[in-house]
Amino acid sequence: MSSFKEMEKSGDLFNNLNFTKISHMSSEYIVEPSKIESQLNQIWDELQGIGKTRASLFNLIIYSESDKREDYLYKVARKVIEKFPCRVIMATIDYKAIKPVLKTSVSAITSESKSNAVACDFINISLSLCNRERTPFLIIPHLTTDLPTYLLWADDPCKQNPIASKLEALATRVIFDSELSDELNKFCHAAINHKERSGSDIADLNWGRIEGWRQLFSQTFKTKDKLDLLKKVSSIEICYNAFENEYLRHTKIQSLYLQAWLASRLEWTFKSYATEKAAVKITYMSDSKEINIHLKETATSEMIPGRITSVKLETPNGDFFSFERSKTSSQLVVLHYSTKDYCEIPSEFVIDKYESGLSLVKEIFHKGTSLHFLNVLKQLATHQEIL
Amino acid sequence: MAKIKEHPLEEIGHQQRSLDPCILVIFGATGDLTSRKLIPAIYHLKREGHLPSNFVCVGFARREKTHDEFRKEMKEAVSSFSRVKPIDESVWGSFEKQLYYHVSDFDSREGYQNFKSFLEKLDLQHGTKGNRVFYLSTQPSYFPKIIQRLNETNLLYPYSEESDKWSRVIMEKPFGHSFQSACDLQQELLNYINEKQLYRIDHYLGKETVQNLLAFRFSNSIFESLWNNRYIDHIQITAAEELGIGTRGKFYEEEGLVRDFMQNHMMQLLSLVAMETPHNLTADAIRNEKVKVLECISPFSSNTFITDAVRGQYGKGFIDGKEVIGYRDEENVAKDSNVETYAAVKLFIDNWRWDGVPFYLRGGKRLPKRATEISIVFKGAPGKLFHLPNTKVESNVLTIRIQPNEGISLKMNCKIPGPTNTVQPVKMDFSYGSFFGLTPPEAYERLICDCIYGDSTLFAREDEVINSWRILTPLLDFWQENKEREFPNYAAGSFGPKGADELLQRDGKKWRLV
Repeated sequence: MSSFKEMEKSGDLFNNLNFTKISHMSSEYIVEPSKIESQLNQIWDELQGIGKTRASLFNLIIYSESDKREDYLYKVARKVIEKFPCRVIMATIDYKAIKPVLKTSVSAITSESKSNAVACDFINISLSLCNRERTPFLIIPHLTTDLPTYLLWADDPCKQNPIASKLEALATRVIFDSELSDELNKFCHAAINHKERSGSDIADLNWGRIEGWRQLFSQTFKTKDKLDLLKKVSSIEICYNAFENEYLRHTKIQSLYLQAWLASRLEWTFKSYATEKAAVKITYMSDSKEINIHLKETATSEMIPGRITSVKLETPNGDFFSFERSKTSSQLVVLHYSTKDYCEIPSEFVIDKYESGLSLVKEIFHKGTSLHFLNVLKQLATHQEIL
Repeated sequence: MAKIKEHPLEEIGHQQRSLDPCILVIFGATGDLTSRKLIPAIYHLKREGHLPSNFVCVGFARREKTHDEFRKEMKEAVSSFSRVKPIDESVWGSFEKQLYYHVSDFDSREGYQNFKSFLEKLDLQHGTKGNRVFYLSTQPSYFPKIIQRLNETNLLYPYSEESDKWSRVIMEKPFGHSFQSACDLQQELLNYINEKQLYRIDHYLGKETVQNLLAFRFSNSIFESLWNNRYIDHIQITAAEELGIGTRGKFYEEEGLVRDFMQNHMMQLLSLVAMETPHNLTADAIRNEKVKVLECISPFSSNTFITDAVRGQYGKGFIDGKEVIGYRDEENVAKDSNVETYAAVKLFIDNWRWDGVPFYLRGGKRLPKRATEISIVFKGAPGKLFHLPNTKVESNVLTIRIQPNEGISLKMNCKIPGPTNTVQPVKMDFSYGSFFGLTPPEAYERLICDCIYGDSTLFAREDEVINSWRILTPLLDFWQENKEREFPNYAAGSFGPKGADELLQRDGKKWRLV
């Protein structure tokens, strides 16, 4: 096997230097790193004739060390540009590669919406593990100056990775995906440490994924009388989709976030955490009153794994709130509110659309680090039993 | 129950603002505005999850109709006029359960009593807590009567910051017909409602580009430091429409162009461009500064009726290569109509910042294209450095395009590559569409949401409207008394009457080609 330097010198390192056009939604060209910008300009010259406009509001770096997630992350990128055009630089480390690999390709990506006239630069960088340290050097020359840079760290932040701090230094905001950590407790520690160490703003896709639920709770408990009822709640049941797919396996995280958010916002004190078969029971105290939260599994392949399917809350006086995904459309949540002698007509709330990337879009839209999120991280980090 | 100042579940900047439960009532629910704009806007708010979780919308009109008939008609309207197609059946299915219809005359006491009972029943069924938005989308002549009846039936609550429930009224333009009628209308309304409950809608203020005016001016120090009479030569505000008056002949014969959009939309744009920095972004802080601008503008007088204002009326001509009829041949228009379909005026703002800077406003129907924009024309560079023979050194122009192709462009001079020092104007262009991709929300979506939230920043306050009328009413009276003998004086598809060009030529300037 020839050495990396030899391969680099001979040009074998690059899979194809002949600007092969790959059939796709947009053209993709495999190019040498030094040709990235000129090839992009050439693509745009070709695209001018079909009315696509080149646009960019920020740089989005997507870093991943799992080849399995490449398609998923590509979908995420496309969803982002539909809302916010940006220059996407995706760096993927291929652990399995035996030979040294450094492959760079460029394309113009469009959103899924055909009516959208905007298209964006997409720079794809694939590296073998032995080349990982080159990643920041490949990315830096292609960041558009004067625009914010978001880093989607699509890898477990608990793992030691020398690249992490180098890429974080380039980023205005780091967005994690807690799905990629095996232990939520450790993820929370890592995220807090990151925030304290680097000072940069952080977010998590799973936190973004429950924004609809947080919004729904704010709306429902907006008035003082309803908020007072929420404070009196003694029992909460959160059901979530425990069905797993190849991308999403840690299906409990969103439910844990939601309950921790409620607990931190309503200043409940953690008492205990117990698992009972497939269910989890978490107990909090508030003014010497117990609040029992049950996380229950349901399993359906028709909904994205980890999504919360229903939340039920009950007070000792018989006030009952039920938030349940509509049977006809899972983006709708049906709200039932009843007391012992009164019942409101159920209302429906559009909670989210099941499309990859929307959580990231939401997090890009927000600025700074959410204090609510930081409190949730702290809440979950203190209890090692919460995985 | 009372509103909580700092809600523990809300986090500003990381979550949408959450809205109180409420019922939105649309008066004039069988009208065009309801089907073309309001219901599609409310449907979109629902689709995006921007409505309160406890929310009901009730159409109120005189025409007999069942709830289901109203729902069916509104579904067709959303299918036709929604900015995102096709209609999302699951969202509509949910939305229509929150949609009701109530039949009554606008003046019938009994009708309002029944209506009150109906709303109370909906409150119980939907948990809407007695909060109300009344959207008056009727003919303006009904406004006082509707508000009086709402007050009499206690559907309008006394205004209080601390109250456990609220009621608000959104009023469509026009607010009054002249300075005096606007003052009278305001006085009459104040018998029944507090000014803080009144939301005078000017849909221009809901447009993203108009909202961006404040951000553009006050978050970019490079422009704001040039924003005065030292650097600016003059400002042009243009609102051009290629459409004629269509089926609005009766309305136009009563109102004319100045009342239709110069008194409101264009004066709003002028005050946003010329205002001083507000001390914060609250509704009152912004509106106080806007009013100060209007207060600094002298009303038209006998000295300026002829020199500083031009009116026009379109005759037959061509739009997009097709022959179109003149105004006087439109439906419900008098053959000898004296109504203006075009107006151009010159205004001065008598304060330190704008002393000596003319603001030229022009608006017209049946112009060659639809375009609303503000152009800031800067003074020329001092000296004659690049004034070589055959070289054109033009002034810098900053143009804010309100619609269509929303964006901002800056014209500047650059040297043409080559051995000579020839200078050529070039354009630096920012386009909303290119940067932000998706279609921006309709103005009505933002405005309805703001009203439910209780944010009146993007609505016109009484003193803004009255001051605007104060400036323009003398001119309208003069035009009323002195018929224009040259009408029609511009061909449909042209850029307006010759007099409008002369208005600027007298000052050594010319209209920008939009």
